[in-house]
Amino acid sequence: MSEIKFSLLEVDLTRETSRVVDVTEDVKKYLGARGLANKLIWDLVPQGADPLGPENILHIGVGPLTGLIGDKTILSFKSPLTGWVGRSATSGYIGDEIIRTQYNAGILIKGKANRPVYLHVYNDEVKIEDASDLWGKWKQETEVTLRDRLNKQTSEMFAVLCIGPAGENLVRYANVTTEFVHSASKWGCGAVMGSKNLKAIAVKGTKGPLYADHQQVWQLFKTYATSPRTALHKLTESRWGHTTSMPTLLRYACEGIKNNHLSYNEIVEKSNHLEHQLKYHVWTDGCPGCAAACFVPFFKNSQRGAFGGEFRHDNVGGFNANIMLGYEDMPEIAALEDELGMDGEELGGIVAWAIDLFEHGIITREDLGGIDLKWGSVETACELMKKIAYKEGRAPAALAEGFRRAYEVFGEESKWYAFEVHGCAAPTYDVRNKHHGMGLTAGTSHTGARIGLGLDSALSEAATFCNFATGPFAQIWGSREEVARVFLNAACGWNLTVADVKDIALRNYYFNRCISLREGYHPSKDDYLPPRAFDEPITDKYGTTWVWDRAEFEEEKKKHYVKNLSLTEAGLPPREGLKRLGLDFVIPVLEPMGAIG
Amino acid sequence: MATRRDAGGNPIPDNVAPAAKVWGKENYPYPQGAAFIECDEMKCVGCGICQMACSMQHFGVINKDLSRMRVRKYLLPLPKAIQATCLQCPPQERECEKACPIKPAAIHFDLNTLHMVINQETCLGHGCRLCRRACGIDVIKVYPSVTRVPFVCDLCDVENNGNRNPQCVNVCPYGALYFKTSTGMGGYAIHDIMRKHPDEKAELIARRLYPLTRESMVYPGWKK
Repeated sequence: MSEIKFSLLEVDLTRETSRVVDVTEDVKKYLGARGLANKLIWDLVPQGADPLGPENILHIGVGPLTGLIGDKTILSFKSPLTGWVGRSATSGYIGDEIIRTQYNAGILIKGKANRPVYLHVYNDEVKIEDASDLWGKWKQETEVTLRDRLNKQTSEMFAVLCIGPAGENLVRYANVTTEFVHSASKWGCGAVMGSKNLKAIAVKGTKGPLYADHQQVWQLFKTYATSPRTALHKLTESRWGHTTSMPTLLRYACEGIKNNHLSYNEIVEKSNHLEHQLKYHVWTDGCPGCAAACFVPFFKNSQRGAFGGEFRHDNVGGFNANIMLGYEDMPEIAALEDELGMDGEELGGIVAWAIDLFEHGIITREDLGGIDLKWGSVETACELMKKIAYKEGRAPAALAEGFRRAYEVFGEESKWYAFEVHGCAAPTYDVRNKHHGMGLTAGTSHTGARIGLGLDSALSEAATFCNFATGPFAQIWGSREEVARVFLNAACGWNLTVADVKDIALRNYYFNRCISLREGYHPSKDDYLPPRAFDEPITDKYGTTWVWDRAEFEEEKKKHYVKNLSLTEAGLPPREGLKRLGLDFVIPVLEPMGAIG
Repeated sequence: MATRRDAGGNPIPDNVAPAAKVWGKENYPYPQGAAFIECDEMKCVGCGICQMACSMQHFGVINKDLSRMRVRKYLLPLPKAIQATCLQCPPQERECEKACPIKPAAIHFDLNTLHMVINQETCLGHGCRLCRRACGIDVIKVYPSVTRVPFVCDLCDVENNGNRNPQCVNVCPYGALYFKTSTGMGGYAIHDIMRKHPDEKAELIARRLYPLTRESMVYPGWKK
């Protein structure tokens, strides 16, 4: 069985050129997507580069298992929100199309176009096309227009990744969407695309995936597809999608209520996934190669308009009870969020903060351009979201820059009301809740407060398997590492052992952290929680009260670094570990910064 | 130790956990007489596992474009997948066979094995495509770099000996494909009603979402 090659399509928007680079050796060391992207960012983005300048890169990453265990595409870049390493993950069939062009290490975007453009990739045909007619359009119209145009030209269905007005206007938490409901949201990849004048990326491949042994891959895959474990998993995922998590988390004081101020409140009862499903669920949709099919789009026709979209924890969790609304009101907000193109988790936290600041007189009606913000109002929340996307008015323009930059505009007193970690909103998985919450995960992250930051994701986002699809695979084969091992060996023709797979995960995790360390992150100055995590306790529906003690947090943090993240007690990658994993080239760079353990 | 075999009769590698019971065709009786694969559009989630099974069965590789089953992903504007495959039409409605310039037609229904067949020797090749055009739903597939001749659903009777065993129906996790007897007058279903291009089906499904009042929701444009 011969090993397969990995090719990266490199597109330079400044020079309007493209070439194919063989990155097989790098993929063997780091795997694809986020693993390979670590290397690309480290090598290609100069230290201290402006994330919104032409020096930043955007890697549309696929990997060896994209299309086999879910259909993950990981976008990697330097984040305009934190200034550290950034990555956003999306599903949908864009990954499958990239794999079928046989650019199986993804697409790397460099430079900056001198006018609005979109990238057209149709097998070997790579073109940078004018997008002046698409610029300014909202997301759905952009995607439908472009897909329709390309369908007429080629009679093929293209997959399209695009940005909305927020990305064009460089809102620092703008996102990128495909198929309207699949978003790569975190840490501002939409703003990176906008800064490159890149409105969209359209891809179609008809060459089929490269696998070392198709027969063996198919046998493994068929075992998954026909297993009763998969059947049980799919029955849950395909019925509910991700609408069930929020009501549960709200009851366990794990999701923000009124800008994370309140304990259990009756507003929680307004998030009811059964009612939502029976009233608004239209059908179930999934990604290529995944039997779970966890996308359950809704459609609501109301007096205020017709709204379609998808409830995910990421686009609803930050709003909902956090601005005193329930599921019944969320379709309009979720649809508008998707249209404008912003990360719902970040935006939810920002909007709740703005309402809080308005209530306490820190920002005024004039600052907001004439909006009387109030809790539980869909209308004013939507107005504010639109103003943020277009940066209209003093307050919305400041909010569009994220918490840390907005402090400079709103002043010290605004800080108490902000519920953020590392400058990223943390409305969901409340950091105070030590059972289901993300206090330690978010508080020790080198990327900002979000889920998917530890060793697990360092493996899954490099091998490219979807965390929502992995369940039955891990049950059938025993562990995630074993799943990765059998599938990677069959697909790539390698001979990895479980120990090799664990090493790759650790290598990718260290490397990812090293990029943030190079760009100014340091656990000693950055790894803390907002003051309210220590001074404002919350109580869940069942009577448990959650709050951190400062000394306790410091103690737990040290344990978390060592036990769960394989770091030193100071939260730094250990020198011996870096050497053993072949990352010794980072030591001379990070040593003078005091960032090696 | 005897080699373990999966439901399709293929050997299972040792590193694969014991294969589980397959659902799908076991749940209902094997069809007697002329039969076809019916697509249930509203059940389809677009995973494309049927396509992988199809291309594996016929070409030994995983490649959706080498599949006789067709799954297209639409934006209505919410994402929806829609399948289409050969309906094994009755003689009166077999437009592909009528359109074939070769006599006897290279593409024909084999009465001994009860499925469509394309004669590898007499077919003019992928350049002709008159059958494909006459059918109108793009389920007669072409892939010039691999095969000279178009290919069409043969119900996985690869050796053309009457052993129909459609793998796509076997693996579909959502039971969105049925392998069933054609029913209706004279044993044949009236297939022209179901013979719709995925684009046309998409347009019909999209009507569930209209009228839309929000300005930014645009009508799927492919029929304009």
